[in-house]
Amino acid sequence: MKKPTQFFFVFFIVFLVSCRKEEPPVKEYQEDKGVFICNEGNFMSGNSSLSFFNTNTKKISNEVFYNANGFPLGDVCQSMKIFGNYGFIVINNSGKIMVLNTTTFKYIASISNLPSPRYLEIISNTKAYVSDYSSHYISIIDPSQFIIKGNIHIGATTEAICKSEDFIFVSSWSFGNKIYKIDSRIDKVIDSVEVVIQPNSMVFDKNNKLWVLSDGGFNGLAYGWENAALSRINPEDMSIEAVFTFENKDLSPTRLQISQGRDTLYYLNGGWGVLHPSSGVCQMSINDNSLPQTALIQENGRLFFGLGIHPSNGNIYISDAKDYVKNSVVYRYSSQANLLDSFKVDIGAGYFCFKE
Amino acid sequence: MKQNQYLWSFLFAGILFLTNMNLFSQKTDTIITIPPVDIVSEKPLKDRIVQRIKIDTTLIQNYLNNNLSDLLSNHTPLFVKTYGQGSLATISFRGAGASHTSVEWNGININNPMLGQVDFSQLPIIFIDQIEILPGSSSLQNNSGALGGMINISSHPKFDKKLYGMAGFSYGSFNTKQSFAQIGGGNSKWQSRLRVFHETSDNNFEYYNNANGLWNYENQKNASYEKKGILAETHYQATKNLLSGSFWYHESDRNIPPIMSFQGMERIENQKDRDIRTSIKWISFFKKGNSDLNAGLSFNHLNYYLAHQTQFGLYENYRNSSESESYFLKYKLEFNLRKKLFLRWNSNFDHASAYYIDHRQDQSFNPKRNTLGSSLALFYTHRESTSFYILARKEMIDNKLTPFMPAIGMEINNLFFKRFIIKTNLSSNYHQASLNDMYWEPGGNPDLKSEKAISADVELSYSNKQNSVLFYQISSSFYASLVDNWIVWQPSEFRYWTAQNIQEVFARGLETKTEIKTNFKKLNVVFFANYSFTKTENIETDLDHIKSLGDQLIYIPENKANAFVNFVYSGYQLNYAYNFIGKRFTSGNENDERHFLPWYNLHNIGFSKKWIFKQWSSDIELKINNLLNTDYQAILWRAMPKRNYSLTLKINF
Repeated sequence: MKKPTQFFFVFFIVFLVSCRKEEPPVKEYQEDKGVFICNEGNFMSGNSSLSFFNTNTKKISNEVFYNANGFPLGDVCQSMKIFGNYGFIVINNSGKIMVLNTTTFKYIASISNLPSPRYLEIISNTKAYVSDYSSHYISIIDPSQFIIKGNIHIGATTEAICKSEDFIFVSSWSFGNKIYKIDSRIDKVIDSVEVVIQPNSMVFDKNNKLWVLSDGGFNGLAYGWENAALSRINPEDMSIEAVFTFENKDLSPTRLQISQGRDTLYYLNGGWGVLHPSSGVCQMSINDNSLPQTALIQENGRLFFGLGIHPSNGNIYISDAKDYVKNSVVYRYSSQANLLDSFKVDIGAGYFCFKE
Repeated sequence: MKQNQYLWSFLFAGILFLTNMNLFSQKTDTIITIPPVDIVSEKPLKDRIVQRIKIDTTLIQNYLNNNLSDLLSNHTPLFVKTYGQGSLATISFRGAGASHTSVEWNGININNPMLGQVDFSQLPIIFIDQIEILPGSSSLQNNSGALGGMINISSHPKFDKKLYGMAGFSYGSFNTKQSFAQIGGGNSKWQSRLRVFHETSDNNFEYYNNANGLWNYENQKNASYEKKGILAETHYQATKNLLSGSFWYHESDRNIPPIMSFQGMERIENQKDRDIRTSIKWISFFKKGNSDLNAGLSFNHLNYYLAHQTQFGLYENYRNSSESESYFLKYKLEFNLRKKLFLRWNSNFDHASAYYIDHRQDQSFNPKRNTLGSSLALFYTHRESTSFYILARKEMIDNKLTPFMPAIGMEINNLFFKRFIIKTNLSSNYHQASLNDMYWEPGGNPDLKSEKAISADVELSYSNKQNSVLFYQISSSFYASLVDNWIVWQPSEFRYWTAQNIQEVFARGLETKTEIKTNFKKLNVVFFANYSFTKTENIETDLDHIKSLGDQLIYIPENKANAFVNFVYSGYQLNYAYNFIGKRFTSGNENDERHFLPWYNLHNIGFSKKWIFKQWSSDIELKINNLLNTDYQAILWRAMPKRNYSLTLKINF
């Protein structure tokens, strides 16, 4: 009897002592030019993160926000915008925007109490618009004071945002098929136009025409399934000047981008790994009369998820999200589509934000 | 085609009925009761070879106002993945997935046919009298599909009681209130019993939030829940027959809390479950064995809702309901052909149908499935020290035959010394894809193959004599299992995810168990300890078709240990439970040094006093969970409660 009692006692003491607490170590960064990569992570897992690729040293640093601050970004890091020394990181499923110093990656503030923010566009020192997936309005924030100032009722969910002087153009992607024009001086919708369903991304070209990429939904989506299309809109009167329809209904293009000279469009066609000749990164001149039949950079069994064009040298940044469970790989290509290098980032790398 | 199915089931039911009638008509003597076990080798042949872990009734009594997830997590080698009190809890068994753990209640399968898994937080211990676990290959004795293992929970009638009852109330931290009661009685022929429970909790525990940069203590939001249930059963015992009927109704409304980093506008997320289960069982005993006819049903209704509060009112993201209906008909014949030869024939017909509707998108689907299965096992013993079995199982799913499922096993007793037992089991088992995996829209894949496992295990155990003053038993099991066609949802070329048979997983490990029981004058001590080592990795195939071991599956710890000690001394009881969960990976990355959760220890302690009056007794119990106030995460960025208390009052008669 005595022995077991001793044994229990020792057992108890050993495990009492084994209690511990770990504080995360904090790293110091001093980074100059480069590219921020938003890694979405997995929805509801809170494992999104930020990576930084230094374009001078060609060094990739992962999880820079967590390492610099000791706490995570949140759930689903959707997009990022730089304004002065501030980086505004939109954390979709945490309902907030995290603001950091773009050199030291130190946390500055957070703008919380948003429903489901997606993208942000800076209008002035005191005004920025934030699109939203789970509400029928866009939020107006103050990017200097980090507060929500108000909202603009749209009547649909919102996604991509593009700016042209005083006018802001917002697409409605989820359950949507419209592009809305907002006068930022009065914060009101003044016009809109219908496009193919689910317009997911937009850019302005050098002629100040608005290009809109609609993915058309997918087979089984209750909202509908149409052939995807690229539309060119005259922002003055919101008239549709041209529509380029994707012939294969299974193709679902995303991430419309434009070259530094604003004369060449890029988008991801796909996809998700299917071996279609135009599955991959497609390139199209704004003067072309048809969509490209083959991809500039073939997807080749990879799963292209994010696309970015460097605003000063035109390098093409593509992420391969693999199965969204493993770490993504970023491929860097020159504007002539020669592979420069590749590096591992985090889960679900989807958005590139260039710091110059 | 459809007619054909009905014909099949009708014929099948007819055969079962006739067979049972036939046995019923045999002139046989009284119920065969198994005498209390002393030396293990004297176990009846049918209970040998197969690994069966029985949960001690001391533990079941101790967890009366908890869920099955709490008990299994603290006292078995099984790994419970839990999102916290009142939230989803699933089990990974021997490195397999949550849907590879099947649960049978009074003989009927209660895995949700749509998801393929069971939420163990919704199974209150008060509804359970017996818990038996059949790991790996051993589960094939009952049914197919439990690639990890099977958990059998059941009611146990008390034919020796005239009238008995219990009423209890418990109040705990976070305004958790539980009330539970049971009343039962009858005579040596009829016995009925009714059990009810009700539980509510604000579940607004305080935790240290290190996920949003504010570094402060916060209260958990949107985590309250309410659960209630009723279990009614009746048993009739005739000279050679036992007829049992049981009915289970369970209602659960729970809010789903956001993760720690959430700072958005208020979000409303909740889930409502309604479960109805019925099981009717007729066991006929005869001279050389018994037959068991079992019919049952299991209905589940689940509503899920997610909405965001916005400046212009609520924005609904999801509003969907799933309804599933499963019907079961089972027949089991156990027969001692000769003294050394035993036969078990199992047959079952299951029908499952489901209806899913997404109210927001007005989309629905309605899958169905029929399964007909049969297995035959022969047990043979040679000189009472060496026993073998051979089992063969075949199934037909929706008129399609599945591959043959064989199993073999062997047990050797007293090999080197007395009461040293070696058991080994080897099997090939198949797990059908869940209805969601096959028919979810979009992405369900009707062409999915069943997941296949080839499993082997060896168990070594030793105990001293059952009636020793200090009884002890130690056992170790080594297992290996290769699961092929493991179903994973993958991004597809259509921009949505689809279910595919792509993963191959190699799981192997070790489970050890120690049990010590002693009675010293008035002091009674029991001690249980478990340790498990689980290595479960997917096998990766490179472009040259060369296979290599990949990563440990996410959220399955390599190391898990627990220990429990209970002291009883003249009405006083003190118990202490310790639980260790090792490091778990949270993403499937090779050599990942970043995406993991660190190990943690949990300590729970309980103290109670029992007063016995003539025919009454009453208990008061204080429990302290997370005694050392440990900050931990079981799942990434999900808050867990710190030290918490509960006080329970109970009256028994």
